[in-house]
Amino acid sequence: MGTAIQARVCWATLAMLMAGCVVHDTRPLPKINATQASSEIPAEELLDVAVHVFDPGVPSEIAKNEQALNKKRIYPDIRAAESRYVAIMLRGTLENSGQWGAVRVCPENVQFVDVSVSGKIIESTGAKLALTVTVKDSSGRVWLNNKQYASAADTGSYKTDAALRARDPFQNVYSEVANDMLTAREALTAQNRRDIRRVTQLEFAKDLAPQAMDGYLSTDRKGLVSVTRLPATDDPISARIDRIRERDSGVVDTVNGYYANFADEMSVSYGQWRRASFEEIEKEQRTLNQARTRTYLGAAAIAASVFVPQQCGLYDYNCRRLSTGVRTAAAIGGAASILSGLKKYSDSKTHAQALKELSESFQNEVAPQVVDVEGRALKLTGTAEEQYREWRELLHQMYLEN
Amino acid sequence: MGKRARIGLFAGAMAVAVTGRGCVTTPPPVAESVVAGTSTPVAESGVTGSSTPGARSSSPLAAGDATAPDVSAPPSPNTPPGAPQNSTATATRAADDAAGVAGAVGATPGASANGASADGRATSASATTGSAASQTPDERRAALDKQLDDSLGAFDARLHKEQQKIAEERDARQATVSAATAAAMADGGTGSPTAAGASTAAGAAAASGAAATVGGSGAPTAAGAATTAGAATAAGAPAGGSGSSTAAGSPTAAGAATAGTSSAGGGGSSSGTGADGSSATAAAGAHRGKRGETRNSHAGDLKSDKGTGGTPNASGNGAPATIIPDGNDDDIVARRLRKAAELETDPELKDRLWKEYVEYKKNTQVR
Repeated sequence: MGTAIQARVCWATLAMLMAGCVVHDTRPLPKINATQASSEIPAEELLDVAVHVFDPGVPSEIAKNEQALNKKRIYPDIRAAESRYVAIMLRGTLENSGQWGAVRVCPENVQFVDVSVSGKIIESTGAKLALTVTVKDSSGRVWLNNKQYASAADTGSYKTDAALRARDPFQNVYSEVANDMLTAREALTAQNRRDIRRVTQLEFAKDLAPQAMDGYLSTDRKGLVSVTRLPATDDPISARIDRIRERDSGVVDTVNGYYANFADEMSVSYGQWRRASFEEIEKEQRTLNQARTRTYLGAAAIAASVFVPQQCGLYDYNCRRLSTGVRTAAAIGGAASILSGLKKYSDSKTHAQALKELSESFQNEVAPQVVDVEGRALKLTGTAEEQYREWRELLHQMYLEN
Repeated sequence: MGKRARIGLFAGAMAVAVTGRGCVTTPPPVAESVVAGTSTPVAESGVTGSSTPGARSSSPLAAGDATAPDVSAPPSPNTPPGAPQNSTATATRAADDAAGVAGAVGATPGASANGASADGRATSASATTGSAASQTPDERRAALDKQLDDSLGAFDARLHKEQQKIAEERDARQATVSAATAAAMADGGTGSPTAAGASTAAGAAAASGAAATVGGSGAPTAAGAATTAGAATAAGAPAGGSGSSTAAGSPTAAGAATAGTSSAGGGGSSSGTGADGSSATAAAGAHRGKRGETRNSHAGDLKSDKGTGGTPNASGNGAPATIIPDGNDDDIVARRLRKAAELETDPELKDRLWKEYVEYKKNTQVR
C-alpha cells in the first residue's frame, strides 16, 4: 500500500514538473516563401486581386469590457490598425510572387475584382498571429473558405531593426495564404480564368449600365455566374464603360496608396511594439511557468512530507530522527517553494502590466492614423460613388440615344 | 423725312420701350418658344433663348439676368422628333436650377407661376435646352460624350492630385527616415578598426556633410579602407575596388556620411555606399559604430542586413560600379524600381533591379 502511494506521489510530482517546465521554442522558424512565377502568365489569365481590409476580430460580447479585452490581449485600436496592416502585408506577398495581376488593398465596398480576399484576425500579438481567410472569385467560386492560418513569430526578425524591416515575423502566414491561393488558382483551367476576368468586366458594366448590359451574364443554381454572351467589340457603351473602369481602378489604386502609406508609417513603431510585446509575453510566460513549477513542487514536497509513510522500525531511533528531519525540511522547502511561486506569479503580472502599458502607448499613437487613413479612403470612395452616379446617368442617356 | 413721320417714329420707339419694360413684370411670352427650342437669336443677344422681339427688348435685365422658361409649355411644332422627352427633362432641371438660383440671388418679383427670373445660369441652361433640342441625335451623342469626357477628365485630375499627394507623403517620410537613420549613425559613428581591416562608419562629418576618412586598422591598407563623403555628391559614387572603396553619402538634409562595410575576408574589401540617400547603408555602420566591433551576422538576418547597404555594386570585386542616379525626380515607375531594388535581398536580383532602374532613368532623361 505504502509503495503504491509513493509511486503515485512520484508520478504526480513528475507530471507537475513536466507541466511546469514547458519550454517555449524561440528559435527562428524555417522560412516559408510564396511560390514565385516561373513563366509569364498570359494577360487574359492574369487575375486581379482585391485584399479587403481584415475584420479586426474584436468579439462583440467583450468589446466594451476593457478588462476582458486586456486578458485576451486585444487592444481594439491596435487591432483596427492591424486589420489594415495585415492586408497590406498579404498584398505585398501576393504582388511579389508575380502570380497575379494588380493586387490592391481596398475597403469592403469595392466589389468588382477578379479575386477578392477577406479575412479576420483571430489572434495577433508579437508572439503569434492567427487569421481566417476567405477567397472568392467574381464568378462566385469559393477558393478558400474561412481557412485558419496561424504561426508563432519568427524570432529571427526580432533580432535587429534591419531584420525586422526586411522580413515580417509572420511572413510565413502570408506566404502560406499566397501559396494556397495559387494552388486554388492552378486548379482552374485557363478557360475558367479567362471567364473570371470577363465576368468581372461584365458585372462592373452591368452595375453602371444595367439596361444596356443586361443579358450578358447568367447565374446557375449553385450561384455561379457565367458569361452568356459578349458585347460586340465595337460596342460604344462598352468602350465608355471600359474607360470608366479605368477610373475605378484609379480610385482603388489611390485608396491602396493610402493604406500602403499608412502601413509604411506605422511599420517602424508597430515592429517595435511587436518586438516588445513578444519579449513581455515571453517573460510573462516564462515567469508563469516558473511560478507554476515552484508552486507544484512546493505542494508536492509538503504532500510528500505528510503522506509518505514511515519506513523506519519502531526502535530505529536514528532512522526516525532522520526521517523526521527530512519531513520537516521537505515541509519547509515546500512552503518556501510555494512562496517563491507566488512571488513569480506576481512578477508575471508585472510583465502583463508592462505589456498593457506598451500597448496603450502604441494605441494612442496609431489610433489617429487609423482615423486619418479611413477618413481619406471613405472620402475618396464616397466621391467616386457620387461620380459613378453621374456617369450612370450619362450612360443611361447614351443608351437611350442609341 | 417729314415731321409727321419723325413724330410717328418717336412714338413707335417709345411704345416699344414701354412694352419692353413691361416684360420685366409680366410673364414672358417667350417661354414657349424657349422650350420649343426656337432660339436662333440667342447668340445675337447672348442672353436669352428667345427669338421674339419682346425677349430681346428685356435688355434691362441683360446683365446676367434672364428668364427661365415655363416648364409646362408644350413643345413647338418645329421640335425634332424624339427631342421633347429630353428637352423637357432638361428644361425641368434647368427650371429647377433657375428657381434655386433665383431664390439665391433675389429673383425679380413676379417670377412665380410660369417662370423664374434668374441669373446667367438659368439663361445658359435654357439656352442649352433650346440648342440641345435642336440637335441631331449624333450631336446629342457627341455632347453626352463630351460631358462624359469632361467629367472623366475632372475626375482624373482629382485622382492625379490625390496620387501626387500620396507620393509626396511617401517621399517625405522616406527622407525623414533617411535623415533620422543617418543622424543615428552619426551619433555612434566612431567605430574601431576591425580585424579584417574593413572600413568603419564615420559619423563625425554628419552634420556638416564634410568628408571623413576612416582607415581600417588605423590606416588605409590593402585589406580595405573606406572614404566616406558627406553630402558632396547627389548620387552614389562608384564603389568597389580591391584596395579601397569610396562611398558617396546622402544628399539628404542631414548630410550624413556613411560607410558601412561587411567585408570579413582579407584582400578585397567592400563598402556600403550611400547610393540612394544612405538610408540602407546607415544601419550596418550604425551597428558597428555603436558597438565598436564587427557585427556578427545572426541567423535571422537577411543579406540586406549585412552591410551591403542599398548599393548594387558593393561586391568589391574591382568591377566599375554603376552610378545610381539621384531619386529626387523619379516618376512612379522609377520609384517602384528603386524601391524594389532597395528591398531586394538577393544580390544578383538586386543588381539587375538597379541596372533596370538606371536604364529606365537614362531613357526617361533622353526623352
